[in-house]
Amino acid sequence: MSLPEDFSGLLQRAAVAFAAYEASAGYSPVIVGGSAIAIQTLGAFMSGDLDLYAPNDDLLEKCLVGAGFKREDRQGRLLGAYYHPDYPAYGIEAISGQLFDGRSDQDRLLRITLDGDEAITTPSFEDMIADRLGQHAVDRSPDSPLLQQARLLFRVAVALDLEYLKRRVAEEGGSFELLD
Amino acid sequence: MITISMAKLREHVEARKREIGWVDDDASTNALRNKGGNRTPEKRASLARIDARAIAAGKKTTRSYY
Repeated sequence: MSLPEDFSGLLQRAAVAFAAYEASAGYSPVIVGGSAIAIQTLGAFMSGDLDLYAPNDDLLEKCLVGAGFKREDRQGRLLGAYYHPDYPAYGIEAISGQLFDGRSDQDRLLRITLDGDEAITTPSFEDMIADRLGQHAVDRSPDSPLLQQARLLFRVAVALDLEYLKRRVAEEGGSFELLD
Repeated sequence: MITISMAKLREHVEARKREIGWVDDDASTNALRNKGGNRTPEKRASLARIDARAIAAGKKTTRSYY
């Protein structure tokens, strides 16, 4: 399966905003959560919301609006929630805090170039696997989708650094052995 | 920063899926999908708004539990 056409279109539009953000901030927003896994597994499952780590809220809004995104205007909306009118089946949300509480290696971020000059950035496969296993350690249900996501990522990942992965899984409170 | 093209990523992941016998069918996709039990009320509301927008626009929604 490949990424759905409309999701790929959304990524192209988001990448325009990310390029503008990076030109000003010196670093790109990072796609995290389920959407990052959807991208890294090529749509093995899809997520309707695209969570972003982008610390400068004002700059993110300026760049997203400049790329054609709209801010949600309903009462009770999440802080920093956006959508693109051409891709209404998806939303974008800015998340707060530090990326993985500052424990991930920024040099391992994965920059994925799209058609043209635009690019999107996700955490490394190792960090996403560790994140899922860490959340699974809290969830613990045997059929946890988080564990299934971690296992699939582990099996399709590009060039895993096992030592880094083991360290990150431990830091997130997960169990590396569950990947077998 | 590690850079890879979407085309290369696609080529690699599709090859790995074939090697491990992974099939993106409804059962495997559903097993990966967040069942929603740990979502915050705000996230549930956000996902509901996304679905409502898609339906209002006559678009297919992205299946999600919330």
